[in-house]
Amino acid sequence: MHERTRGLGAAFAKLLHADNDHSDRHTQDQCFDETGLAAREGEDDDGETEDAGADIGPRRPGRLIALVVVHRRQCTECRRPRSWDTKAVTGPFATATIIVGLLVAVWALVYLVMNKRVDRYLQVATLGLAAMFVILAVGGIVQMMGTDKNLARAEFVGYLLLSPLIPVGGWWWAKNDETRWGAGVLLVVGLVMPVLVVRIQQVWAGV
Amino acid sequence: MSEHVKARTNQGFGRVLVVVYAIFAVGATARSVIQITRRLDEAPVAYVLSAFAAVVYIVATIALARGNRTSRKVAYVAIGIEMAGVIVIGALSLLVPDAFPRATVWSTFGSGYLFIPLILPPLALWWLQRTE
Repeated sequence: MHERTRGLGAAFAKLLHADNDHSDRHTQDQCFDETGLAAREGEDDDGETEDAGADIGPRRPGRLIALVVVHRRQCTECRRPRSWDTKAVTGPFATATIIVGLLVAVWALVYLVMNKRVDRYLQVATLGLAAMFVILAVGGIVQMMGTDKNLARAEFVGYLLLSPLIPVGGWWWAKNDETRWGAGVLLVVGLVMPVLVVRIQQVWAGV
Repeated sequence: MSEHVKARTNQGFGRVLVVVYAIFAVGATARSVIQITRRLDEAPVAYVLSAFAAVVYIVATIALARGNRTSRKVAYVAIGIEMAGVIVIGALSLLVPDAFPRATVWSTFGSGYLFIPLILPPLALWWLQRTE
């Protein structure tokens, strides 16, 4: 497997280490050498990418995940051995929570304008948003425990743990309202949640 | 809206008002707990004011959400204090910035929170009047 996936592995490893979370602990070259997924000396980015395409044929997500796990297990210099590393707060899942939050907001705004009371579907969407923030909280805390990074940890955990309460509380407060203003409540919830994600990301970045 | 519903502060638009107050109450409380337990010496005036603001938001939230006659009076008082707070602290934070090395919710008229802290009390007072 190593021989065949070497090119893509190197490209991917480079991607992983572009993350500046731990860039102070080692240089990229050191890490590549240790992993066995290393790029050949003196080869530039373009060369690697072309190589990768030729070597492995169709790209499959399963293989990429396997590569990441192998890389992280072998790369002892750059981080402690862990296979359950997450990027909950900085990765695509956080972006998804922002998008779902905005969708709930738009949906609620439509109901508010149409003078429609909150229905079952909008309730499910709001609770789904709450569930995403529970996942974000768990993933974010795992992410925090996996780093020595200097950040305001109490604030970070506080934001993560309290954020799911807003959609849950909003749902509870909106569900029995007989007027359009139940949707008004969920509009506020849908607008606040993306702001919270951005704030959580700022705390992570040390702002 | 029926007469009965109209007389309550927690119905109709009041529900939106309550949720905004609730978010500020939770946020301000969490923030001041962290500030006071970890770094009170850093900016005592600002942090004590944060805690005070948190209490005001909690009281206003509960009073608006209950929506009976007594809670209406409590809401007037809490929101009155909130209005005075955001104006006085907002002005002081601009005139004597040295007294506020760290921001409170009300610093520079709540500019860090899209001026919502400044908009909220007049809106709430209007709503209290309207539902009288």
